Amino acid sequence: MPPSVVQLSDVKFRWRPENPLTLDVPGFELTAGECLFVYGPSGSGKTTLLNLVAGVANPEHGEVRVLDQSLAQLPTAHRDAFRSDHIGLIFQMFNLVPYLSVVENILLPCRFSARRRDRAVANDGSLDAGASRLLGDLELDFAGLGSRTVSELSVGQQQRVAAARALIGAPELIIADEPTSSLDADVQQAFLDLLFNEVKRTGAALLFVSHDRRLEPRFTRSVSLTDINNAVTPSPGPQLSP
Amino acid sequence: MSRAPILSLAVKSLMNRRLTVGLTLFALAVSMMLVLGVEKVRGEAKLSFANTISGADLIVGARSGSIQLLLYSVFRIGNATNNISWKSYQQIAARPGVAWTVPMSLGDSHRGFRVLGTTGDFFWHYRHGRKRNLKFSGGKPFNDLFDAVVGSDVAKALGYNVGDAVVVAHGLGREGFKTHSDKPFKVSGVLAKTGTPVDRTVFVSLEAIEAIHVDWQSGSPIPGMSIGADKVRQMKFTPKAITAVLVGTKSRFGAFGLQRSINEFPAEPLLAILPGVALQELWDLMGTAELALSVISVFVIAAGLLGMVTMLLAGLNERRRELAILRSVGAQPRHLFALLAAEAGTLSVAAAGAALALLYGVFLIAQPILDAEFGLFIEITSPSRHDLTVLGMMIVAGTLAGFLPAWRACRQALADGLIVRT
Ligand SMILES: Nc1ncnc2c1ncn2[C@@H]1O[C@H](COP(=O)(O)OP(=O)(O)OP(=O)(O)O)[C@@H](O)[C@H]1O
Ligand SMILES: [Mg+2]
Repeated sequence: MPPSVVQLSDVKFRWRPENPLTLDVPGFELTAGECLFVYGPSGSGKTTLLNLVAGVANPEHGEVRVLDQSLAQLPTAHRDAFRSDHIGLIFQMFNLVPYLSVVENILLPCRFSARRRDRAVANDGSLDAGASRLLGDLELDFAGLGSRTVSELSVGQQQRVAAARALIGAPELIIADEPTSSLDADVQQAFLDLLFNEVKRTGAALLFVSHDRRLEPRFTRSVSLTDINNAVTPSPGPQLSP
Repeated sequence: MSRAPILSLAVKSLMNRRLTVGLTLFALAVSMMLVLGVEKVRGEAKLSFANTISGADLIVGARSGSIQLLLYSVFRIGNATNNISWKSYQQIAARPGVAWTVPMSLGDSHRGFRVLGTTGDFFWHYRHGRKRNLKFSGGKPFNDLFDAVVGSDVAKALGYNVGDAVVVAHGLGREGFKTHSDKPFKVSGVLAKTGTPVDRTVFVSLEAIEAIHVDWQSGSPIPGMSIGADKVRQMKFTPKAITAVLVGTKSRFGAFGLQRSINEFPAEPLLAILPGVALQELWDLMGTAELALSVISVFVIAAGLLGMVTMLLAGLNERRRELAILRSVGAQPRHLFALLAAEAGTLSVAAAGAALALLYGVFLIAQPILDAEFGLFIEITSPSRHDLTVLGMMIVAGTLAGFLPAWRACRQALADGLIVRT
């Protein structure tokens, strides 16, 4: 049995004390090398789950373990450092810091994590070489784009830059929050191909959430959040494309 | 992570918002420049004031208030209530501790400028600023009975050059209808600018003051009696009374003893003052004005800093996503705090630099105007330690002011989590 990368046990979480529970997850696990698809309607708590796994939010009950480390046991500052060391994040859109160039955006985690920096240098020789290789793998042109400001990129290009940033320094866990929902169908497939390739290359585990079940077949396993979440979520209403 | 990468983020983030940041920086720089400028002018004014007369150890006049004596003898403001008799003057001059004396006789004016009767020693003993001597920009001290030396403002205002004629009015009326027109003076010398009341004074010899009044009695010409200049020149004049005396002592210590003994002068009630002390007293009278300036400075800088804090706070809402991204790549709340504080600090440092540049620009333009209009000569020097301290304090205040948006940024980022929905 491969080692566990993410493990939730009896986790309860609400955003505000006066709010009802958003998440009540008795058990959830992601193991090394897995590409897991978590789906659920809008508002079902997918992003909330990722906040917990990334250690940005803390459960009021239960335990979140990442790479066998209980996040609750880490002081806040260490939790932030742990995140930058071991987790790469990709969001739905607006992933990039507007005032940094493409390469500066990709290398952002290396500013906060010596481990990611060292691993990137060990892998590719230098940080720039690492950024350059990732851009190449994601079919972006380093020479043409590297020093550009991110606002000049298309949305698809921005998402690939965000993926490169999540992947730099080979973190053990990649978390993706609907990274493809702002992309056209064919760009979506290309993006997923590239993402899967890179994840396979580094051996990272992938936790991918989306409401779009058409993507599901491409993953090694899939989980419905509504199935594992006991909290009564407000009725989802008509499915909205974000 | 070290501070430097946060600083580089801060600088890039500021550059990204050039327009708002630029305007904020300009406003902050202007307020910093005003504070520096006010401080500088205040310092220079105080220095120039405290050194209005730095050569004399004592000023002696008829007994009145020390400020009053200072005002009429040095600043030529107001009038002496009484005179000193020539005899008393001679007794004082003969005292053992006295190194030199310069008698002064006031009362006449020339087209709005006071006329001072004195001896040629005045030009030698009078010191101003950092013990600077009077200098002649043209001509020389008076020689003939009807020679006059004019201060630089007088020369400039009335267009006088060496050799021009001067008619002294009796009393202080600007349009003195009673003039000493029968005895015109000739400008023998023009003094260089000093930034002191000397600039606004017409100097003649003590004898000349007596001479022009030889045919006058109680403020009017004696009817039918007019003695011409040439005839007067042949007469011998000894003043009966003078207005004040500048005294130089052989030792600083001697000045105190001499002051005490003059204040107890038996023949007539006299007052001796130490000019430095009296100038300080006079300056302190204006202390409230000085305090008001300081208070204004504080408000000016507070307004500038408030503008910066407002800009940073207003920007936070647009930057929620950026802060969430930084959180997601591992920035701790203290990094976000440092980012905002570094932005405020960078802005303050940049504003301080711009303020210095603006200040020198303004002084280069204002220097001749201040000099000409107010006799206040601002020396343009490299920033003094005081300037740098004030700047440093403003930079610290600016960085501290940045703690408010910095704290807000942390709280906001913690509440937002990874995803900012808008
Ligand atoms: N930062 C936050 N503060 C307060 N409440 C929040 C916050 N983020 C999410 N919520 C609430 O938590 C619930 C779940 O939201 P979440 O974003 O996890 O849903 P989701 O499944 O990601 O939806 P979507 O598909 O629209 O992204 C919602 O009711 C939402 O209002
Ligand atoms: Mg979501």
